[in-house]
Amino acid sequence: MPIQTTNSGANSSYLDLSYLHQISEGDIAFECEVLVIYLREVPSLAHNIQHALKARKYKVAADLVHELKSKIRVLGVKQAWRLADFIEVSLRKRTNLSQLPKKINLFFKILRKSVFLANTELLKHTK
Amino acid sequence: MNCLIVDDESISRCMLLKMCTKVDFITIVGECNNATEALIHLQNHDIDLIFLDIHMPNLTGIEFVRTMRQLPQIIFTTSDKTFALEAFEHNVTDYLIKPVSYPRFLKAVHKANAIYEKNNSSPSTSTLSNTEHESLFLKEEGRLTKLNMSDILWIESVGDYAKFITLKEVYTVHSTLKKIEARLPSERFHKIHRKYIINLSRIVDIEDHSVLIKDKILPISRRSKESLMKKLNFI
Repeated sequence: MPIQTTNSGANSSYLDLSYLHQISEGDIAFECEVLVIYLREVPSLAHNIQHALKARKYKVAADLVHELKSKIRVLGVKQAWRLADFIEVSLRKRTNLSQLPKKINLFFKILRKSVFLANTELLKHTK
Repeated sequence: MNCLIVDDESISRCMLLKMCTKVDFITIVGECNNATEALIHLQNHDIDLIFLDIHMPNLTGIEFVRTMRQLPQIIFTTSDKTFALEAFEHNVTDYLIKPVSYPRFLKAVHKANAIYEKNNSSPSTSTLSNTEHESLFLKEEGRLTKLNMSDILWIESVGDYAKFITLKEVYTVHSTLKKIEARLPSERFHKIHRKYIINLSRIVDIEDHSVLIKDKILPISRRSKESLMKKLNFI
């Protein structure tokens, strides 16, 4: 049986494991492996994005956001998909700069919530 | 099919690997997290298919295919749709948008396998050797040409084709080196590089990682050097 996602309703836009379930076909070890990578790498990437933004290294920040995009798509963090696209494009083209701080804050907030939910899912299977 | 996954993003590699394990004709021979690593991998391994990401640091997937003169089949795996047109100009096998659904993945790898099978199919191959290994027949543009094995200097891979370089002529046939190598007597011919098979009797000299045949210097891969030296008669 795949990991049963209990984060239905509002939470499902922060973490939706249906794609992961489709690919894993019930391989829980594989699902846990992906969740572990997500939990290990997303906070670190978010930290590096903040660091790059402070240093005004916009291309570096855009590349890091791009890397995050693949992860949030696999883990179904739908709330962050459009935001990530907007932030990446804005950073590359140096456009919408006035809107960026607000968007980035929201993006990080969503990521934190997805990390919390991913951790909850993982804990169910590692107890 | 020997396949290589090239992606700087760990979860994408993980997902692709998982999908590949479900397909019996795919053997994953390596994973690389950047294109430079892939270039090194290609020099030392026979790769039939690469799953290639586009946005990677230093060398992008598109730059990778632009720089390579000869490539195995490529399936791009990317979250960026904007390079699709250029990708197909490079004759890639397919272009998958992440997250890749399993049915779409299957469609792409079956397409790749069909191409692979076509290139490696046995009876239609261009080389038909006789039983004594003294000559072979090359099928070139519908005509069978008899060629003495001793006249061959080397055989060179050029995309989906192979060139037989002889003392007098160059013959081009539609086949892969892997297929040709299987039909040549191993005691007389040796694959020294993913692009070259040489006639051992035509070697003039060997120096470090190159071999001189007639007036042409050909590279020897690190992996092939050891097996080549074993075949040679030393004093």
